Amino acid sequence: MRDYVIKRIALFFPTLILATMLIFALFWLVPGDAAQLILGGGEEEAGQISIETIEKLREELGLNRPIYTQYGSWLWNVLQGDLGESIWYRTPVWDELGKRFLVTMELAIMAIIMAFVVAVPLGVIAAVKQNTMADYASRTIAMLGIAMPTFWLGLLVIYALVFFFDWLPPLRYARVWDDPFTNLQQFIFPALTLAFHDLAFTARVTRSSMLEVMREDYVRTARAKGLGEWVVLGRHALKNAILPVVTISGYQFGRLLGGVIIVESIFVVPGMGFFLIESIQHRDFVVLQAIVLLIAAVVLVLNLLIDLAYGILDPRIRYG
Amino acid sequence: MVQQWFRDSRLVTVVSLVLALVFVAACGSTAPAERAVVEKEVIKEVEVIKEVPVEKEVIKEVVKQIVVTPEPIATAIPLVVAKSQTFAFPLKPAWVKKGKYQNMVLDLVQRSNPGTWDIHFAGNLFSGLVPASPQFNQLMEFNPVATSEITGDLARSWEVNEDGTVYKFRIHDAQWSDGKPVTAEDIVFSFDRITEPGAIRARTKILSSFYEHGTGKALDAKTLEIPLKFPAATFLPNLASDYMKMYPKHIAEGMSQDDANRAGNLLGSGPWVLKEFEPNGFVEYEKNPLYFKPDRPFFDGMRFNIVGRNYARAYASLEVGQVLMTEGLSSGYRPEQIFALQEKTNGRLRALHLRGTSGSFWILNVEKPPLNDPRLRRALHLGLDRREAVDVLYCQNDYGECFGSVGVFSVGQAAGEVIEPRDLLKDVPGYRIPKEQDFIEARALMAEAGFPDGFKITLNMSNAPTTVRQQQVFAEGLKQNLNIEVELDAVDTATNMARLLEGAHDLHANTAAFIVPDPADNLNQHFLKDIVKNPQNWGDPKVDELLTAQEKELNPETRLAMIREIVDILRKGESHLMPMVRFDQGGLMDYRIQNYTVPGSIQLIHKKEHIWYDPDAKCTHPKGCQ
Repeated sequence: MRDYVIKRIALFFPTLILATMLIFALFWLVPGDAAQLILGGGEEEAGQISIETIEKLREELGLNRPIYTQYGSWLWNVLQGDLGESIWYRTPVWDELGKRFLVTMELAIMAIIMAFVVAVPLGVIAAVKQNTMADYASRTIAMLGIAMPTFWLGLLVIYALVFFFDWLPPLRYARVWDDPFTNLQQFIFPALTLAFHDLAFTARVTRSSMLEVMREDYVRTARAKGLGEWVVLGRHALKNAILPVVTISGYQFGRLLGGVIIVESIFVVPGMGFFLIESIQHRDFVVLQAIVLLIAAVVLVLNLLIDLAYGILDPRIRYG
Repeated sequence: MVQQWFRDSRLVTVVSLVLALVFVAACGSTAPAERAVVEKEVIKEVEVIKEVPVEKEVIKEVVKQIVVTPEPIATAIPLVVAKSQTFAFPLKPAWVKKGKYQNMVLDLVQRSNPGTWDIHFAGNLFSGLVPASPQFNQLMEFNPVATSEITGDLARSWEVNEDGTVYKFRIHDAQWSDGKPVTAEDIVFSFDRITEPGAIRARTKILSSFYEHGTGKALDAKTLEIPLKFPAATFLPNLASDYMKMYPKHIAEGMSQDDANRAGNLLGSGPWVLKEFEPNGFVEYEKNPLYFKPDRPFFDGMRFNIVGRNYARAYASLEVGQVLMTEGLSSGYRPEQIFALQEKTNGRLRALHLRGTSGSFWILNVEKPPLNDPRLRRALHLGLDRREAVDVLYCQNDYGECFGSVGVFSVGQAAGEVIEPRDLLKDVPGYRIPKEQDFIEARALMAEAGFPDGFKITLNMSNAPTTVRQQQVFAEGLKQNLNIEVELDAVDTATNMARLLEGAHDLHANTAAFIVPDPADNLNQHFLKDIVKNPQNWGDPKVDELLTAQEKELNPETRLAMIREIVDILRKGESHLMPMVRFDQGGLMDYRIQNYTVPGSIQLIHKKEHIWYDPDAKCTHPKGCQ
């Protein structure tokens, strides 16, 4: 077990470096740079910006250096714990990310809890009441959640809030420990939007897994012993059926971090997602790289934790 | 019937001219007649419309809500000034007495994240000037309540010598927000900082054309002298631009450019003091208790709430009253949408409508086949049916008016020329009515250039919905009329601009707004050399000569004639720049916000020191504003 964990941790670093290298390369394939955006000259912009001025700023920002030099210098700084300074905001990236990381994590955890709490019972009910109205309703919700893009659902939620309640979540972010009520107002709807897709997916997996387990001999034996239906379902069926659900939860969390980018932008939640979108628009590769690095690290850690959780949930699994 | 009269632009123009003359006479303006008429045209146009008993409720409402009649300020300088003149500016204009202080924070919606806080350096309107401007003053400014006039900001008076080459300014007793007095030394320092050789000055560089670095002098603590390189027609308008901020010498001198670009390092003498900036969150200002203009600003604070490029959220926040106004005017706030929201909120939100001071253009690659052939460039110019495009794009709405016009490359003032008769250019090739003769000539030119059956080109453009819609219409028109196939390549702004600079484009769609309301502003943006919007350095000896000469010409009539001559050359359609249409822009604000005047350009943003919130404001909307 210990060797397994060490091996996985050792693989972290090459994976992270590979991820940042890939993003860096992709980013530099896309035309345009921060110098040009800082000096204007975009849509609706006026002025006689000279090409010479743009070149000068490029030089000052180091954007005209070869790509490998730029990446190398970025990586060297990161290895020394310095994520650099945002090209657009001129502020240390660590400071900005510190605040935003917590916001995004709050949103993602809230969404995954919502999804899990609703999806598992929904999946169990659908499995137990297979081919009944409850099952059809549960499956319809699941299909809808999987089919509907998150950005579209987000826009619909905003529209519905304005149309029915003439209300929107407050614009100014409040930290949960400063003002829990405002924080809840800000996060509940983005979290629901994010959770809907995951809820649907998790409910479907729970249903399939439950249906499979309920046909197992040990479930039949439990019933034959005269155990109550809830005990059979809870202690024997669900405990075994939950393993694939846990597996996909890890995957779902990673996917959720992707969804956060869109949802944060739609609901104006000042987390990493909103920051990431803006950094792409500003061609701020320093911020982009840092966010990618952080998300990749979170996903890797999470996957490791999920793998380790298998051993606890299923004693048959042993890591060597 | 009424509608017909309303649309009869000839009649409107005649009435406008008469009223404008009366207006000019009443103000005692010293501006030459012709320029002054053009300058006032828009204002009077609006006043005429205001008096029309419009039948359709929505049109009536639009008119009532958008018009804010400027209060004439006798001491304001007209745009074009003669030599040997003196102007003094009151510290407390008459409208200040009407203002109502409110113990509240003005919440605005802001779509861009501020990046650079040094306005001398930055070149962005929405991510630079708009959020950073409120803490600073200029020396001169466009009057916030009569926006076609120039008035003093820090300057209390101004005079110029006989030959128009030396300006003397006296400044008010003002303080920087750290309590130190604003001195003439600070102002001279700011002139020199703006014109510092080798420094990046994206929007303010224009001042270097007039002023030689290091030549300004502080005569005493409150008086300074600024010599010019030549008697310049547009020195004062450019000086009054919102980008020309004055900085304190004791703070800015020696500060690195990097530090100056960071939020909060520079401070000003303006009505607001930066309290906090949270990227992706908000920019918050508080009232400057040391502000030298009495009784202003009228709010305790001001907060720009950053929503990113998220129009859905911007509109929704306005609709539920989370914010009271948009950060400014923009073509992103389309007239159809702002008027719809005005109706939807029963008039609680007022539509701010700025008539077509932005133009859309194609920048042609004059070095790359096929458009390196001037005959094909002219064929494109002739083949564009701009009137039809305007009809399709801007006239099909429920409001009975067009939100765009054909009039680009006109010669009058920025705003004054916009509401021009539809048939003004009807005999000019490229704009002819009927259009058939243009098409015949275009086909002949294509045949002569070896493309009798049309050709294929790629149009690089931004993926902003308004741009895509506009370009689709032009592309379809060219396909139908001349069999020219325009392939649309919509990408994000950065990519689009990069392709332009690399010369990878055949055609590049762009837009431009005026920084100062002067026809030369538009020409300079596109026809100077080594600039972004002229990447292949297209030039014509006569255009270049006239462009330089008009800058030095103080006689407005002669200058106007020079600009007319430039425009006549450009209207042949052989340059790198293909004017398409002008379009309107918009914004929204709560009807209780008072004293706001729609400026002559989206680049005239002011400092929001002159507006106030009146909870008892009279609602003029028939549905009661609730």
